[in-house]
Amino acid sequence: MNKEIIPHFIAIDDDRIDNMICLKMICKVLPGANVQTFTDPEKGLEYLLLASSHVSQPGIILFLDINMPTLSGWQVLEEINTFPENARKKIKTYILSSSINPEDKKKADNNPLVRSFIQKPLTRARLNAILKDN
Amino acid sequence: MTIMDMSTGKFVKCNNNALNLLKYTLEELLAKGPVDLSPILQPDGSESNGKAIEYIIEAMKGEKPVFEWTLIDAEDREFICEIRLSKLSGTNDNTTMASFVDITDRKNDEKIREKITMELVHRNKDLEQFMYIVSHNLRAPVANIMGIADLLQSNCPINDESAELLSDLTTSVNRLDDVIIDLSYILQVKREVSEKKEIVSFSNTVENIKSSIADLIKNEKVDVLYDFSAIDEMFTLKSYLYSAFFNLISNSIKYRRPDIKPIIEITSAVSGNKIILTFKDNGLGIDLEKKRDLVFGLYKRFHTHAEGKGMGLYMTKTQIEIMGGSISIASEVNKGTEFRIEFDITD
Repeated sequence: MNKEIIPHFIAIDDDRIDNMICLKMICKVLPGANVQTFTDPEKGLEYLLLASSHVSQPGIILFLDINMPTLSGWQVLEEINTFPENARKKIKTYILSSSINPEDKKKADNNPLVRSFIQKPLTRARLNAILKDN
Repeated sequence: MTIMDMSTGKFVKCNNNALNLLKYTLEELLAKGPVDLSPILQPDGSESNGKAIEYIIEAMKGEKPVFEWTLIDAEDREFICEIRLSKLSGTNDNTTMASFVDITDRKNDEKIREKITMELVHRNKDLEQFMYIVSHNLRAPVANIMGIADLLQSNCPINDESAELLSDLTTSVNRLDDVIIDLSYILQVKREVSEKKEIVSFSNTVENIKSSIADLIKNEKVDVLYDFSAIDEMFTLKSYLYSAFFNLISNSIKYRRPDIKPIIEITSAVSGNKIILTFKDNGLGIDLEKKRDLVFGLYKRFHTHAEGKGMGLYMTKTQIEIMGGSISIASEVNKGTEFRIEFDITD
């Protein structure tokens, strides 16, 4: 990938440790990357709308958990769907979940907003595969 | 058996069986009518009097009502009878015949069975809930540990003692994760039989498996022979049959004898209303004397040289049972193993 347009990373996950792993792994693979993590999906959504609406924003990679107490990942996706088109188009969403239920993966694969379903943890190998994809 | 006169509402005749059942003398019983032998209310809450009249009217019209009824005998014991009412033909137009069978024991058995069923349903739900917790609530922290181990690993200088420990930690946590994934997979298989049954061909299934592991078959020079001339298809769950066949065939290859050419023979037969499939190999075999009970158990392994988690035969048995069949094994060490699968022919 082109070094000059390192994407902006946002992780929304109620588990603080998962967010920490996500942050550290991204910083290891892409030193200096901009990573924002949120344990509160509502706050994450607010920030996501702001960041994606910004004119100079090239693209955002969103890591989204499914099982969260206030808003589920699926509900977050519904909210993203209501974003203005130019903002929405910049967001590349990856479901990052510990779920091993094939139904969750199927649901993610069938959602047009989701690029793919990533099994936790976000390992170096998995992250590199995502970066190759962008 | 009793005969009632509807004009008086009393019994006019009865046999010894009725007297024994109701524990009255003949004189006592002939002074009574059906309402005198019934509690005010029947178990369903309706009044005995009104309901008895309804049945009697039915019988008088020529119908033959059969119904459950609670009676009280001379010793004040309540019991449940099955009563058959019918109009007595020929004689007096106003007489009906009632025969009683005491079904108290049957009703009690039914109640006990119902209770046991309820308990089983309950326990099954608990178990599912438990498995759900295992696969979700347990998987999340395990994923955390794996992630942290992965991060630490890239921090550690090589040759450091902690690098070695970390590598062991990673191995252990990955093993733990495998178990969680297996458990959740088993739960899934047992619960999700949403797939539709269809006509599945045995020979096509074997051919598909052969081509999916063609390299392995070629490298190990395995002969996979089959004869499905007796019967080549059944109405079943395609993916389960494939998976069961796959496990048995790949097990035979995995546990082949290194010194001879592996041969797997699969045949079908029909016996009565059963389809019998046999999978026979000339492999290492299992000492069944000691291990018969364990063969189909989860995480049971009998050979240490080959890769294997001890899931295969457990899953095979589970899937065959979901398809309504059964599986058994015969084996001799250094001779080979034979699996026999039986299905009832449906429709």
